[in-house]
Amino acid sequence: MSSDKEVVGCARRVPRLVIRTSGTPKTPRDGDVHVGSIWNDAPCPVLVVDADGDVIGSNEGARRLFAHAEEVGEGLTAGGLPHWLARAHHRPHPAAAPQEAVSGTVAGRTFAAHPSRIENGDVVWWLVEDTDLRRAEQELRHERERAALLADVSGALLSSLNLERCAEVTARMAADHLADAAVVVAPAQGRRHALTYAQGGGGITRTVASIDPRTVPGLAEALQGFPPVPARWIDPDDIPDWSVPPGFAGPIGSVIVTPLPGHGVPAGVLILLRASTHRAFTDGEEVFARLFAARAGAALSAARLYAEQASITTTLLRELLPPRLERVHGVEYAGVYRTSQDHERVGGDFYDVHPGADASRETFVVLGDVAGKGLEAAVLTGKIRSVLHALLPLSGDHQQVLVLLNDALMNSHHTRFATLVLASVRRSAGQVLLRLTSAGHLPPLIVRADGRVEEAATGGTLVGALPDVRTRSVDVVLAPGETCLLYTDGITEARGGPLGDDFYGEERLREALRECARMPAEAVVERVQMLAAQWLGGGRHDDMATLAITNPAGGVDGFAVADDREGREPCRREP
Amino acid sequence: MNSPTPVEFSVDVQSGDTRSLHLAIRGELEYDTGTAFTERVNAVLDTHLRRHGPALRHLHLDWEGLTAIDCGGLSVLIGLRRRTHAAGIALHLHRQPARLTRLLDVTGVGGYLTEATDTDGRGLSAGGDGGRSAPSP
Repeated sequence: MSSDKEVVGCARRVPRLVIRTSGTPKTPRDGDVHVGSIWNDAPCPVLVVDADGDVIGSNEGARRLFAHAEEVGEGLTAGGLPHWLARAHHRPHPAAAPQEAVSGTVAGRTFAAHPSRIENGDVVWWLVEDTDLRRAEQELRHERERAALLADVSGALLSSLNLERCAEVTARMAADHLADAAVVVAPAQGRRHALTYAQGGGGITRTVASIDPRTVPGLAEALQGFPPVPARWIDPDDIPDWSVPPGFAGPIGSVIVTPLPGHGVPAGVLILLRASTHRAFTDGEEVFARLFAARAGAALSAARLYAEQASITTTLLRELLPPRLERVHGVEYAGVYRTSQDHERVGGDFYDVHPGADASRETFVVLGDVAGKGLEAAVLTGKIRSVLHALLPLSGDHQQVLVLLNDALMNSHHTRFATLVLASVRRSAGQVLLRLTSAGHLPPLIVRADGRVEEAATGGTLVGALPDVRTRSVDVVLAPGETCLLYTDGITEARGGPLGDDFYGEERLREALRECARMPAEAVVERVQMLAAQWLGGGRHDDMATLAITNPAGGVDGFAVADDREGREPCRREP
Repeated sequence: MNSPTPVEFSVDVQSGDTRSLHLAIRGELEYDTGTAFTERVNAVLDTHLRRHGPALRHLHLDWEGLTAIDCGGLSVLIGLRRRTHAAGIALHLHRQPARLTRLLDVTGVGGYLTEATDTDGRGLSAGGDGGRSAPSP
């Protein structure tokens, strides 16, 4: 405290001591006045400002702060105040009410300015720094936004197992939230890459192009899953045209190339682009881009695996699906197959109808059941069907076909076997002649025109597990309106009924078939499957296959089908 | 129905001596329990082999407690027959339910399962289990 001044004991008296000339916080107008002797001790910058907005006093903290502001070139008002503070200072306020604090920045730091009003209209502004608090709040807000964005990304991406859709979502979200534009480069298929472009707020463009990954720094490495190169190493002028979305306005200012990590293999690369008119990517943004890429990569990878699996399944199914049956050489065939898992389309039961070259030749029919369920069983059924197809020239001799099939399936490591029924079918003089052979399978049931149901007297050993095959074939003749039903034990072993745990059983099946006399083949199999399904209720069941061979009730003439007419000619030549 | 009831299945040694063993099978011998059956019977046979050497000639299976059997169950029975026959052990089936009899009839496996062995401990069929006699057309 200086001796030649009156009193500088309290803030409210200070204004009396100063001369009204313009000053600055660094050099207040009354630079001589040692008003700061108390404020100098204040733990924050303090300014005394008169009613005109001129700084008439400041403490050491304020002087240092404003000196720094001047160094970094921050503009102040004529009175020496930051503009935000000047505005607050001049804002009219009710005299009685305490004036509220205002916030602003000085020299890159943020302050809450708290006013203390003095009677003569001067105001003491206490600048309490809250830079760290603000920064923390801002960080927290950013983190929350990022977490929300990542959650959005995961949600949007995981809702789809469609690869193209995943790439589009990745590109769009990256362009909207991380950059001005984004490109998803898919792993090469051959020499070509699928490219998905997106611009912030703009559309999606997809193309497949043969690109040279070495033309973008870090891209070749990223496609192999290596960590990204820092964005500052990538010269935006060097990147090729294909890496910029078509129609992107303005030169590129900065680029991030980051791998999309997949499950074991890279799922592609994400290229983020920012226009030169915007600021460059920060380190934090690069880190966040990698987090984003990790989510997107996982989703893309899952979609890719799913797509591959679906494609494999489709390919397999094409071979394994039961064939569509129709009338062949005047004989009706109809089949229905229901797998044990209703969402599966293949299983352990199968049937095939191999039409004879012409009506004088036998049509070869097979229905079988492989021990087991699902894809594993389906693969074995595929093998059996292929072997039988190859053995078609020998199909007249059921015993020989079964011996050869048994040899093909025998394996010392496992005892997986199949049971089947073979049928050779030929139409002759209005009758259908059948030769039936069961290889360890439930004997076919014959539905006579008068409603009697007979079990075909055939039997034999299953194939694939025993060293020898022994079979007993039987010849059966079907008059018009009669049906031979081949079926798997999934029908008779359907568990359900009133008590829930009874087998449908052969007796119930025979009973049901009694009502199927003179029905078309299609109606017979549909009826049997329907009754079995009703018996099951919602219960679990094995694969269920049924195949009906029917001599049409109306005779051949009743059905104006082309192959029937072709069929009659050779029939007459029969001895 | 869609019952998640635990599959009750067991194989127990009822009696046995140096040359024969009696096992009782209870519960469902199906696709799902086949592995358990194989492991359990193998363990019993291994134990017998350690105690008595390769002296076992007859394995008796009592099926009275069998509640269900399917193709998966039949498959493991054929597997058992392959191993025992190669070791000179004959299978004998007792008190089988009608379902098992019908399954063995339809599949033509009954005779194969219970085929006799010669007393030397090798299968009667030429070459034992591994060998497959030439198919006679």
